[in-house]
Amino acid sequence: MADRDINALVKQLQNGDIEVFDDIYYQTKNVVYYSIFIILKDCQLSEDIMQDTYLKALNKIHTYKRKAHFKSWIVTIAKNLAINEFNRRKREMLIDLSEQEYMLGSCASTAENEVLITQIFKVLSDIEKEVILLHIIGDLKHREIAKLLDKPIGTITWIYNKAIKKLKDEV
Amino acid sequence: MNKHNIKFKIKESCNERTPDVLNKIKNSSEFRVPVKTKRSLSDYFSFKSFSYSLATVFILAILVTLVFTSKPATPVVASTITVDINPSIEITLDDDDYVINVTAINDEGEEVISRDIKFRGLTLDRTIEIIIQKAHERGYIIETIEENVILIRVDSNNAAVTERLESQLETKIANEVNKYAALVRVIKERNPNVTDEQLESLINTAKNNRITVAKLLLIRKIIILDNTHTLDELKDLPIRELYRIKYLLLHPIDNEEDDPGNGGDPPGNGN
Repeated sequence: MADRDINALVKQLQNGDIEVFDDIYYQTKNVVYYSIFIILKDCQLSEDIMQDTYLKALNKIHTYKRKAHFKSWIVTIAKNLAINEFNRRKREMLIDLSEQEYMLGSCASTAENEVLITQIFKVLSDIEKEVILLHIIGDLKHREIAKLLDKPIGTITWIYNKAIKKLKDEV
Repeated sequence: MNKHNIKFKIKESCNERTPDVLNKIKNSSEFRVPVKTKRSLSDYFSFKSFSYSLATVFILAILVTLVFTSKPATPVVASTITVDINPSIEITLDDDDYVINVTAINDEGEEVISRDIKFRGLTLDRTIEIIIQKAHERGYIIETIEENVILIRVDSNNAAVTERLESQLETKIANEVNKYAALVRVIKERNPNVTDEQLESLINTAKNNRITVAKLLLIRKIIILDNTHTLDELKDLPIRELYRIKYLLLHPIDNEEDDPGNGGDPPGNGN
């Protein structure tokens, strides 16, 4: 569905039509989930934060002003919640800071797609993961990603191409 | 593997692995759209920017007052639609078939139109979805072997537009009602062959009795068939019941087996 459609859905939601929430959810859940997963690297925890993200987005829906893409807006909420959770756990020493491997937790997956996701997370740096997921899963343009990550558009394009090359070499 | 294949595989893999938490979200007590609250002035302006903004607004106000004396343009109503179940609702559309306003004609219509929903700017299809859903929630759409009868009327200066909207409404209403495993017949009421003065009189009578013109025309047909019926007696009945009365007047019952209410032939379109 095009950008205009999601903007129309969000406008309806802001007008009180809760029925459109499902459509908005299904259009954004992948990019929201993986934006959280990149930070927390834990399936169950990411699921919980994902739930919190949507509830917070709903609560703050009237603050969305359409200057940025809606996906950028909700990803920002997701990342902030994930970072807060990460910091909280770090303070409580619930995570091993030296742990570099990502944890599957109780994620269900087929062997093939698990291998690909594993490679993405092993081979790519954090920023590369983020750009890849926002562009491929979130369907955000490089310009929108640049705004979201506060980096020049040329940098984003370069990071993306570098990431794709790494994955091509690995897969 | 080329770039496109990688993109496709990543999308596919991520799509499969993303958990679905929609039900958990909806089961939360926080799952609702908050009422938009007015923000205080301090949320918008610092004092300095507020001063500049005020000055700009003041100058613009003077200019606008001097240059523009006519009232601001309001959306032009291109078509008016009425939908009668027993709730009676009027929908006005602009040239692009977007909703300008949705008005309840009677008390039952007030029940169906939620004050929290802003219909303005919605498509006609979405508006009908909401209206039928609300009518069903409040028990105005029945799920028995008896048909729901919904009366529609489209008023537009363009005959092609009238016909298109009638067809669109008929299909959409039927689809929406069928979602509740309910039977439905959609009846289209056209403008009668009357003079402009007579039509004006009909509109006024309908307005005074808080019914639509379409419902009034149906009631008139019943009264013509049997003048013991009165407008006051019939105006609050659901459309389904009015068509049943009309059918019985046109097809007097010889024995109980012919009574439509006992499972005989339902009222036909225009009968």
